[in-house]
Amino acid sequence: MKKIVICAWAVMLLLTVGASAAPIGVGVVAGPVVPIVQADQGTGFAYGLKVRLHLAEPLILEPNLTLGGYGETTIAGVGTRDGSSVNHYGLDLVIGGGMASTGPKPLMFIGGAIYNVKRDGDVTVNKSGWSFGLGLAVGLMSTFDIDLRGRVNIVASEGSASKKSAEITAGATYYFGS
Amino acid sequence: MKRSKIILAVAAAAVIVIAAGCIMTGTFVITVKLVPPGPVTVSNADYTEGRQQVDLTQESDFADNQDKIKDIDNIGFYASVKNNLNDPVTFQLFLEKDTAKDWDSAQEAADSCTALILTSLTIPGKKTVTIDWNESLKYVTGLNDIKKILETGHFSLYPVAIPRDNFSLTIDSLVIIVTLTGG
Repeated sequence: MKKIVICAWAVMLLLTVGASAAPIGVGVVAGPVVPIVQADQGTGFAYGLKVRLHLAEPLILEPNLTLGGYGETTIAGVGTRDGSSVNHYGLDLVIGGGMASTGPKPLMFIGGAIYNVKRDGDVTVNKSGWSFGLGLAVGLMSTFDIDLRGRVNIVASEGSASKKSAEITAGATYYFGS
Repeated sequence: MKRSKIILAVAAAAVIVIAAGCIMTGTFVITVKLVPPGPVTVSNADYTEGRQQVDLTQESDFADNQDKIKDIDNIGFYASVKNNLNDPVTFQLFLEKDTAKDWDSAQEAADSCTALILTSLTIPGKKTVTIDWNESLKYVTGLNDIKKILETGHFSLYPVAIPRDNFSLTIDSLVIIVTLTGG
């Protein structure tokens, strides 16, 4: 399933880049994933891809794909528990963080995604979720940004509850067509 | 510029609404140590120490969330169990929802308890097997059948083995680990 999603995502990216006349950013992100009020998960790691598409000033659309998961957690006297793998793909609406320009560019975003949460001993979750966050991008060149973002993920779970996590990611983006 | 500020305000309001609605639930891990004190020895011939009563309500995370439980995520164990006989046995744990009930033999417990919740753990002859939290989950069965019982916070556990008519176990450690989402 993961391979199919990645392939579909890559095909969509290539088609979009090829068809568009406006600058398009393609970036990578990576950083820690911190569970929020989840005593059965530890801090893990996530990495992913994003595309930046200019929508209308100051809005940018970002299809994204993130792979990774939580780390293991330990409770004294009973041992450790593996963390869940967490993969999600979705779409963010970004305000700020302008494309293909130099200098500091603060941004905020809100997005929706499909989250796959999996671990031995737990029911596998494939549910929709929301995320939001803040960040700062810095355009080093008109074709290249680096950025730092904090994202809070809120994923539906059983019993009308939700599971939350924070991702703190560093990223780099290259702009085609700028 | 004005349009940017309006968009920013709408986005910020949406984030606050979403966050406020979702931030209150959490996932908690409750552990209850049943053994030690002990060790506890149970056998087909002497089952007087078989029943292990569990009261989750004595644990603050459970008590604080008992009326707001959204889901019981899972039940796991930490256990260290010795097979005192030469032949291998299969260790099992049965759950009984009525804590007032007690049974005098392993066979009676296995026949009468509400649910089998841990099974297929083989212990070689004269050996001690220790399973931790992570490993225990692959031996857990029937979680969906006992979620409502776990939510009450009160139940009993009965350790037994196969063959029913020829086993002797010394339990050096038994801790139950309940993971729940609530709030």
